[in-house]
Amino acid sequence: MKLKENPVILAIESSCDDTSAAVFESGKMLSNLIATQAIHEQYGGVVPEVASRAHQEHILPVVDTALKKAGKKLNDIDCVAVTAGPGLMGSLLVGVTFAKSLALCLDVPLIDVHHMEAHVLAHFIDDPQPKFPFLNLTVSGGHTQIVLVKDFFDMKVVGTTIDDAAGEAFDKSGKILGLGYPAGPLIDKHAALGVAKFSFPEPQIANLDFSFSGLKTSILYFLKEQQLANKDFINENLDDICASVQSRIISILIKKLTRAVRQYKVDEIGISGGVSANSGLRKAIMETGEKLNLRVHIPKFEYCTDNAAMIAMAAYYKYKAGLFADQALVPFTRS
Amino acid sequence: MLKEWVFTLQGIDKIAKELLHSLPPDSKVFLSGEMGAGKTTLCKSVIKNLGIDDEISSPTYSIVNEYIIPLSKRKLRHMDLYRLKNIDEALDIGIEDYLYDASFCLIEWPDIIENLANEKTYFLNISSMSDNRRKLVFL
Repeated sequence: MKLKENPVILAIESSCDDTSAAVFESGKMLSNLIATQAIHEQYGGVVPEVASRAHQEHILPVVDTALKKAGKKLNDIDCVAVTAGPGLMGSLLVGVTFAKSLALCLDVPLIDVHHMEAHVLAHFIDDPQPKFPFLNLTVSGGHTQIVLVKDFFDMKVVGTTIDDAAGEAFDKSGKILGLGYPAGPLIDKHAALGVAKFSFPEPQIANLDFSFSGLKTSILYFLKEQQLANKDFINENLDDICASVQSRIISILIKKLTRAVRQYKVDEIGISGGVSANSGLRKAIMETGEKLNLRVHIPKFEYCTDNAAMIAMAAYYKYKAGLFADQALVPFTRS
Repeated sequence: MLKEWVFTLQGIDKIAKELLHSLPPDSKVFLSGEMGAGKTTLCKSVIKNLGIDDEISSPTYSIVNEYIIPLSKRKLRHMDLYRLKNIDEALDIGIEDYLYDASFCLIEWPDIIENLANEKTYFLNISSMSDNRRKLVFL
């Protein structure tokens, strides 16, 4: 097989909620579409969030729209990339089967991408790119990891959550406060107006791992106790409670990240994943960078949530390294 | 079979062991309880007590986490339907397959699939009491 200097890569991501497709060429992300957008643009109407069947419905229009936006035709594609896992089996199967079929029809190579590695490689979509080795904090609704990144495909998870993910801690704390789900962005908004005057306990977890499940319970007990004295406690103190919850979640994250920086002696850090949109976390990580004299990297928000652009980016480096998948590729649900 | 337990976090492994003793190996456990009651913590203890060594994290986002029970090689599914809005979304992820196969299933926030309960289903509820104690009841 003759490899190209600047391959046109079509990437597909369907590991969890949203179907996404992206087209990449010559160091440029030409398009990055998620179903909710694409379907809305083409057909209007409401899009269900969680369902393999939804991926089945969305994948063609999403790929089609991504190609059109990139100004490319099916025959221009030099390589098809797809998320192989981890994720929900039914959802992954839709993307993987589609990608395999398309690669076979077009007679182009197929590349399998690890979703969590792609979250890290999202840093390479735009300049300035990080220099190896660096530490990445990947924080989303489903994941909380500190990753030591030595090279594009030499990564090691050095810390992970032993129960809830950070994004889940935001969402569920918000639910307890009556903010609806997902509540992460709302907590952020209220927190900006409040003062972190209530103290929630910090979990005592050895090494670089995280725990957020106890926080949820302590918030629950704290509120129950306060409401005995004042029925309107939540309403009257919502901003301050949100500020306190947010500040605790962030302090847990930053403490372990700081410890990891000292342990692995890196000069650069990054955050990615949906929770990196949280303004408090962004501020905290910038401050940590200044304090410890580190370069800090945060990808554009559209590359932080689950997206196919990061899959395309990871696939580009795999293409360069000649790391291709064969037609026997099957998805995996857990890393 | 015991119908009700009251315990603290320190005693949770003992409860998990008793539960495993009471339940057939292909049980589908519908575990209800409010936010923060300890559903995931109990599931983690059950999974650990089946000899599974993996990092056991919350399935809220992933919806289904699969493990293999070392001794029996049987599949264990730790599920959380919290993010699903209705029974159609549950059917769309293929939940019926899970409810009839030979796997051992622990299902948090099962209320949307109550109508799918079958002879393999066991209803459990966990609730928080004062002094950090928890109550677990077979419904």
